[in-house]
Amino acid sequence: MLILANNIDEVGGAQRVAHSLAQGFAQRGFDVELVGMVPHAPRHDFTAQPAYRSLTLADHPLPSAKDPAGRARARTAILRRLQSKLDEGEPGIVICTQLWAMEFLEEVDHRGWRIIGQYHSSYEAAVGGRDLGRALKSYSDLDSCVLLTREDAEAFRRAGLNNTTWIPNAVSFRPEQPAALNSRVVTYLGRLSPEKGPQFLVEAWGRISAQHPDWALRFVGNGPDEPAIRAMVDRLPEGAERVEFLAPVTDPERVLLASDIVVLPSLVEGFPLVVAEAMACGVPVVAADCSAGVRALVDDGVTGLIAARGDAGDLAHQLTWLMESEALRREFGAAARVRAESLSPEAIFARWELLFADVLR
Amino acid sequence: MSTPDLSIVLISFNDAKRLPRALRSLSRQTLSALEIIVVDDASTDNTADVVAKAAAADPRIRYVRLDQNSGGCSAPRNRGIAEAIGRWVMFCDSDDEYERHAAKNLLLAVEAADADLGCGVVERVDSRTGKHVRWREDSHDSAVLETIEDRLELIYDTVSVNKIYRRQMLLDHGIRFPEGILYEDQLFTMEAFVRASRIAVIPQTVYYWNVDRVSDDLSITQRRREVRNVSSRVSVNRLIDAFLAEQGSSELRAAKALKFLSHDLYLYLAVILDVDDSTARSLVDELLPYVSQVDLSGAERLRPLLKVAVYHLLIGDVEGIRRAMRFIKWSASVDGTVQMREGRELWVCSSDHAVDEIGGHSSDWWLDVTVQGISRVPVTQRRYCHQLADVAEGTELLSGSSADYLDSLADVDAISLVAVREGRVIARAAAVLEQVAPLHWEWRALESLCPVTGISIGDRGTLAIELVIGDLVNMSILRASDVRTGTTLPLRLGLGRVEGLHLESRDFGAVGWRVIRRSPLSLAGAGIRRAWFAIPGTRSLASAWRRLRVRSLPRLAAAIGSRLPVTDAVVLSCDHGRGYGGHPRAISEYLAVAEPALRQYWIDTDGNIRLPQGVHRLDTSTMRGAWILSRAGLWIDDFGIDPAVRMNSRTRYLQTWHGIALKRVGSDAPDWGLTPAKKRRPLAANRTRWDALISPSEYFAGTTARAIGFDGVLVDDCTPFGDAVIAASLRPDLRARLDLPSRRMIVMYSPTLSAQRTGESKLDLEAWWRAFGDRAYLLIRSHPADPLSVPARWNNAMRDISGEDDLASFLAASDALITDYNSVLFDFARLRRPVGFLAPDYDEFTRRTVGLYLDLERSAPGPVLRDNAALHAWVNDVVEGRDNTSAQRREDFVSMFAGEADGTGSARAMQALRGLG
Repeated sequence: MLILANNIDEVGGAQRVAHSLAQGFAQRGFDVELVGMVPHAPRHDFTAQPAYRSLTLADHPLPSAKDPAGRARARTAILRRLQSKLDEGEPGIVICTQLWAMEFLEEVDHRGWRIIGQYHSSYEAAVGGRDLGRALKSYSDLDSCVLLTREDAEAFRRAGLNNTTWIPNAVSFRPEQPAALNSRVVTYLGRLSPEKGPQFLVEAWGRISAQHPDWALRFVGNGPDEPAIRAMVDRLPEGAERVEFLAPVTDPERVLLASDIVVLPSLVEGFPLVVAEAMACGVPVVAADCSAGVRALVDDGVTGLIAARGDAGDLAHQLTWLMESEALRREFGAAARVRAESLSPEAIFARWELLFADVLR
Repeated sequence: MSTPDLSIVLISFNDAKRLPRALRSLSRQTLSALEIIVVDDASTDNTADVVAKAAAADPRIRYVRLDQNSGGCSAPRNRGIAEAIGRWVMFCDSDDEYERHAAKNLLLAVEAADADLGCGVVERVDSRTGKHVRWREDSHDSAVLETIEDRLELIYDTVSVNKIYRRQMLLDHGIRFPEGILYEDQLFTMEAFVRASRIAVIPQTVYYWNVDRVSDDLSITQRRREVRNVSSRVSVNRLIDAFLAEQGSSELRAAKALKFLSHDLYLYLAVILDVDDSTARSLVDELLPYVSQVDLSGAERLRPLLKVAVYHLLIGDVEGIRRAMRFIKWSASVDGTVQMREGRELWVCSSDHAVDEIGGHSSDWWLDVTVQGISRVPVTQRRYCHQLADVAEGTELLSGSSADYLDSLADVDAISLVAVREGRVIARAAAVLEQVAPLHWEWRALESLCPVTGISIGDRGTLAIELVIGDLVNMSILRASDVRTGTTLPLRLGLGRVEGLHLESRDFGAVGWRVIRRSPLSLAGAGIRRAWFAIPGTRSLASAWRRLRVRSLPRLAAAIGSRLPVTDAVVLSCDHGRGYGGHPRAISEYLAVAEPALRQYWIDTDGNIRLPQGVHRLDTSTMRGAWILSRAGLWIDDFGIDPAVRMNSRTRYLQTWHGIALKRVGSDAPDWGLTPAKKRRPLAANRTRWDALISPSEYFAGTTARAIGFDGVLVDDCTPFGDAVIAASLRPDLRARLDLPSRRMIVMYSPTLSAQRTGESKLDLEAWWRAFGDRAYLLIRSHPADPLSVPARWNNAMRDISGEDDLASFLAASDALITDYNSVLFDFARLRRPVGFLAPDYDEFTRRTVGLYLDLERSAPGPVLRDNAALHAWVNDVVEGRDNTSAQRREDFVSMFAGEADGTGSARAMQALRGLG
């Protein structure tokens, strides 16, 4: 089995998923090789003791678009190496986890291989980010196109993909003990960039912090909007002193366990892992209604609350509701932790194996 | 080889050319555990070689040859069933293709459901244009049906190739294609539907039906005209009836009878419109014996005029069939008349064979067209049936006949033959109208067509007859079953230039025209242009000249003009120079009375606006237009004026904005943070030039004005358009002037622009027509970027007013408003009349995509209606004078959000503008 990604070195959601898929399949007896198209520096090691092999096809990142000839040469070299990789042994299954890598695979001779494509973002994001046309073109002929939620699979089907199915990402992360829920901290975990919507959270905080003097807001992450967000916080008439900025962490467990509420004010998302991880920690989530992934993860009023997208007023309203009731937080947190079990590696890899059986017929 | 999951039976006869394409689509299936059985119906071409070659590459392909040609599809398919060894069977024709995942999707669906039959969607592919159309998509939502009765509309899906069949089911029940007959699929699929224990329906396309539009369409219509074809259709229906008599439920039998009437029979009745009398007669003779014994109880559910056509078929009256079918095929042209009896509207049958009772129903039952409401269609909206007579060779003047419409032709004040392009008259010829028999008039043009000045002729359009009846004008398209090709009408353009309008047939029987340039001057011009463009580089030279002419020179003119003293002219604009309405129109009308000496210019970008006397057209892409604009003392506009045109520092610019926003706009829109600076810039560039902004209410100032970033002078509590609505509502002749029904309730439907721009209406127009046609009249105002199509056959119950300028009057004439999030809400609310919010997407719209400033459920002056059923209940209440919205809530909405219209908006806006110094 080959698992393809754009690159396998960068710290990012897609890479994390590709490595955990590779490890999961390898542990279940598959002969797995994880293949990146281009290298990325600095290199990040995702798996402590990988049971799979790793390979990056290109020696260097692609030259910039200003050097079209160099770019074309580098592409050709990648295609040649990808071809020889496919020709090495008996054809099996390729799981291509990203669109750009798929566009390489399309150009080589992959006869005999069964190809499964994954798309990690939501349908809304594909439409907004102009990916939809590329996805329809590259994914329509594959043996199967795997989306993260039923709603996304249905939306892509309506848009013209006849081979969609859905399997969510697995969450292997599960602390022994759930969060204590007694620290009165609202946590934002993610990049500080416009599509993640931290500006709505600051605005919402400005509206509610005065009524909740014992609560704090914690931003964990950095990004292009950090100065703007810090400036916004400084302009708040009240509550600014209870806002904390922490550097990004590779292991979110400690941060999540120290939270009472995790908030996701995003405008654009796919299947946000941070929500799934918060659920595994038994922390209730307030998330903006921005993707099918969010709606699949957060059961509104059961495991957390869903706020209107891009609406600071509603975000403040939902946060207030949860901040004011410890009983509700405990109830939601407990339900979330139970719900997270459906995303356990056992459950998810069993679904993958059922999919393989269908694909191989 | 292990037993395959699936056997695909591919039949072919003398189609070696297209067969490889079909074979490829089967070999490429994502399901690999299948066999492909090619059944050759004794082809005389190299089909065998083609299959052998394919089989060499794909060992799953088998070749079977019939000893002699069967002449149809049934025998080869039956042979395929006999040869098949898979647990499942599918069929394919040699000229078509499977969608790549068809077999796997169908197989997984039937296995998961433990069904005997699976069914997907057929996609018709026009091989010339490459256009794809999914057939009967609506009945193919994903489902597992216990029996066919769970979804009876599936019986309209009569093709055999989009389905997967459990082979054991075919064997157990001996289901085979009937041989020696056309339409063999219909019996086969019906038997499969009935015998199947569970049916899995999937929404995916499984089959590409390749259609060569020109030859195939022609051959299909040709075939329908053949009597043999009709007898086949009748025979297969008899076989199905016999089968259903034994195996079908009464429910299924009734559904099948209705399908025959509404679908199969309809096709032949439509053909009768186009064939000569003797062919029509033989078609009738072939159909009549079978139709006479069909269960006609379902006929009540047919379209009213189709029911009338069936009646005329039953009494054997060909001309009666044609008249009724003209209504259906010629977009609601009325070639007949109706009479009222006891509140019912009856089609008048003028046949000698008329009977009082037939097919188990009285003639009144058959001829009842009340729901069609032909007598209730307002004069301007009527579709008169004007037919072009045969044009004699060399004749330049047309003549034809018209069916009277409720004895109105006697009152015609003027009649002309007109050439029309996009609803506008481009040329006209006077004509005379004479009554030659009751209900039957003849007209003939008196002179050749003369162009209407100031309007460009364009390339193509239709011919129509314009009738002036009192103050009202009716324009109905001229129609004909067939337009003789080669007929060309001269169009005199003066100076000896003559162009020709070449006549041709269009859809729905319309008589169309195309311009043939034949004057020596224009021919020479075209020749010179061609020769000129043949020289390399001239094209870029031409586009450079165009840029210079429409951009650089006007900008230069503005650059000079804007440095000179200003004139006392006022330039007005609405909707980027494409409309004539809103606040600017209201101010213009005020100025025409209050300051008649002031010279008014209106920006008209496309040259399509109808302006009143005294308001001058201004095209800002000309030097003259830019010059006038840059020197005008006052600008009044509701959107934006091209920022590239330099503004005179002494000009005062009043921005009126085009509406009070309900949807979050500008910096309040959720995605504002993701909007690239490039897209924000034009608004910003424009905004900095505004000297004043009118503000109808504090709510507007706090939301719209702030979110679009305006921080200049606000003219408070000012709404010239709102004043115009109130003023119009006081006019006693309002309805007559707009040709609206006087006794029915008028309801305006004005939806906002939907993000998807699908052209689909949230308001179910057909359901409205059935439910309220006799009680309420719907005015539909759709957004130009997302136009709704409003079929003419519902013109008794609704009218499309999207192209009308005078929105203020139409709002004032409306008794109620249905909208979703359109800002017209605020202007209507001041009338204190009922408003309903038809918003099936309310949650998604307010919480995921756009967002609103108001919580409609808490503060709107009417209910949020989540579906058409809720809408109907509300409209029923309103029609009967019950409205559950309290008067207080309406008052609150006006005072808190819309603001009052006090009638002084225009005066105060002008005063404020001049007060700026």
